[in-house]
Amino acid sequence: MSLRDKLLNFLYTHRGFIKDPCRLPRHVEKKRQEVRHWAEEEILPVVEELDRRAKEEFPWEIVRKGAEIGLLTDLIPRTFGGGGRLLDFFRHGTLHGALIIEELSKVCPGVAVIFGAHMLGLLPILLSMDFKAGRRFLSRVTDAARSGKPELCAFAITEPAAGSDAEDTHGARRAKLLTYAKKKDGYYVLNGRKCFISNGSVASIITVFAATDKEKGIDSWTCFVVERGMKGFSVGRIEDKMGQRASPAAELIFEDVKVPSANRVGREGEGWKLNLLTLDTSRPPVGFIALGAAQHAVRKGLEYAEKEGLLRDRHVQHIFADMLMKIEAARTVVWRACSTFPPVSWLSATAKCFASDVAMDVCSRVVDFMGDEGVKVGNEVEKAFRDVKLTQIYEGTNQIQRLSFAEDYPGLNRKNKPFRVF
Amino acid sequence: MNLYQQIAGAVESFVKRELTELSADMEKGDVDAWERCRKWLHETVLHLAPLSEEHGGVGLGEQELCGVLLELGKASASFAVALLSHYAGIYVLQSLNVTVDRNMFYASAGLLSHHVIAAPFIHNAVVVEAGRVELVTGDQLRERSNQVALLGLQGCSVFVTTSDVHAKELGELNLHEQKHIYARVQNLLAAVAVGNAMDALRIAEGYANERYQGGDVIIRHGIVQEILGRMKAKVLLSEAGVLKAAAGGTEDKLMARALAAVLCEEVCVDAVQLLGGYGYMKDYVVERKLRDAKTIAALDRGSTALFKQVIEEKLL
Ligand SMILES: Cc1cc2nc3c(=O)[nH]c(=O)nc-3n(C[C@H](O)[C@H](O)[C@H](O)COP(=O)(O)OP(=O)(O)OC[C@H]3O[C@@H](n4cnc5c(N)ncnc54)[C@H](O)[C@@H]3O)c2cc1C
Repeated sequence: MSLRDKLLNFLYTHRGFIKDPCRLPRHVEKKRQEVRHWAEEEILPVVEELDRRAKEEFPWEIVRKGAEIGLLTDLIPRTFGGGGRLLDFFRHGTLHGALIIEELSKVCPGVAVIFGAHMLGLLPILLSMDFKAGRRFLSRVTDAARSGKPELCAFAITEPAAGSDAEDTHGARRAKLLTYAKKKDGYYVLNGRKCFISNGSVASIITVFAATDKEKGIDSWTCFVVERGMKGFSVGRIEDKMGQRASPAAELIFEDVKVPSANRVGREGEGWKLNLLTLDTSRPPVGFIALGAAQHAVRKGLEYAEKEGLLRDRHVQHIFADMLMKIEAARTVVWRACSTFPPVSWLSATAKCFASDVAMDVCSRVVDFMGDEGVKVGNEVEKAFRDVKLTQIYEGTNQIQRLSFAEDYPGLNRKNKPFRVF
Repeated sequence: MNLYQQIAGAVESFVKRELTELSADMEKGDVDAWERCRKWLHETVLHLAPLSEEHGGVGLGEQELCGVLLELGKASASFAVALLSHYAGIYVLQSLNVTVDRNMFYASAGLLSHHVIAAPFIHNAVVVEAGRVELVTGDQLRERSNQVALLGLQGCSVFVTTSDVHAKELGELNLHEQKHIYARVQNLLAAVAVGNAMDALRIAEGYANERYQGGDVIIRHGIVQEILGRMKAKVLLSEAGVLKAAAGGTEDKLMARALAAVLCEEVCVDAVQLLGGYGYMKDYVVERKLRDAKTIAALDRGSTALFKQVIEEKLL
């Protein structure tokens, strides 16, 4: 065979081989497989029940198993007993953790969010680089995970009168942010309410953002760790949600909660910047939650098409090609955003917004394609549709993502640099 | 006031006075709430609305029926679809010249959905399959069929008929008749979708006028105005399509149904979005509207298949 033939042969036969945007380290790939296996073998069989009975029972068994695999601690640096390295953050961003979340989301976005919200709760402590807070709380999380009695974290910014306003600087300056921490000698007295907090009813460690000066508003926003069991802290209503029902969203009530100064994360007044950094870091993984669910819906749709003998129909192929093209495109941008650290606001917003819009479109179309079967409860596809809608809302609605993009994208905002040239 | 105006008034006042409040209980399958609706139908004789006057019915035309179902769909898509399923049964029986029992509640399969979608108080189901029409009693359905739940339209009884259900043969519809009834039913289904979306729009607009974010009520933000504007246009277009198709042919009806289902689902997706986190919670009705809208859009073979079918059938 001539060299030319060999080369052509190579080109013709290797066309299915796609490189991921970056090669994953072997241990990450291994963990991904492990999580996939666990999710399919152990979580999938109970997904329907989790969806039905969510408000009654929290799936601690799943959390315990997740803790064994390292899902609660992989983000935490080894200094504090975790499995991660600070350097990893700079090299890969949140990509490795987010890919694990994607695996969980393929089976149940609600379960994915239990772990996702935990990581979100940890992020302010990690990103603040407050060593004291890290030693106090991150070590506690790793110790608990190791002991078999895992403790979860949560992240609380949303208030009844400030949802989008807690996500967007323009709104926040005009917002009615009512959670307030009054400084005393050696402690703060925290009063107010947060709502819709994922893991709020089950978390032991909650990163809560509050103003320390009513006049200054977000300029005085500060992050505190509120611990379960603190006097004056209670859980209010637990929401009855349309989807992602395995993950509880709760109202948190603070009535004269005495929060020790040692529970402050970072400096006083640093809260708003820390909040934005946290959100920019956590938004891209939401894209993976959305796409995980969408991929699962497509898989179910394909199974249905095969069962009905429709897979050879070119119109059906067209429908699926269209959906998968969008997923592929969205996944590329989410991958890119997740592996960018420090995060870039416009890229994070793009990833979250685009992926969740694509996922919503895809899930809706799979339900439609399956017709009567698509809307039947228990078929996993209707659940994907319900679950995915939330990804367009939390971590900032998709309208707020566009505002965040506009604030940051070079050339879109007059304060900014010239228009980005590719 | 003509008969239709009287009926429209009665429907509107029932929707406002009772159905809106009953709908949450109906979704949970509350028998009393459904029973109240059944009584109301008997009082107004609306359960016989499509039956001609000579057969003891009200003889409402298609446009008027669209109006009734649209209005009911605003408050409870479940109730409206269950009633439509009953109407579909009546259409078939009439077409076969089978006497409709005025005290019975029918449901149908094969016109609205392949499943039997029924009010919990159903007596008989008219099952159409490849032109063949069979009658299955409600008791048999309850005993021998699998009962399933749907994403939306909850509170309706949904049966997936199994082969051991004993059915009574009623006759056969020719292809033309079957298509004609199918298209009528589909257009009426679209009317329910429009009503459902109209109410979602009303709620979203009300919320946008009250919710402060970004330093103002959110309706003052350009993007919210655009979204609401699009929602309004979609509802307007769907409604116009459905009403026009009611007087049109089979093809018009199927297209109106497919388009209304798609647009009304989009309206409900946006309504949830405009209510933010609150929209995602069961206490706020819009999440139910979205589930209902998606279910209506996907019933039978879904909107995509319908769009294709309209053209495909012309080629045959
Ligand atoms: C299940 C669930 C879990 C959640 N988990 C958490 C959590 O763990 N921690 C936490 O802190 N929060 C959490 N949230 C809150 C979530 O981030 C907020 O719901 C979200 O930011 C939207 O806020 P909102 O619900 O108050 O909607 P609103 O802010 O009231 O928005 C209503 C509508 O107005 C639009 N809008 C608002 N402001 C503007 C503007 N300036 N310009 C244009 N349009 C605008 C929005 O896009 C939306 O369509 C959760 C929410 C849900 C539903």
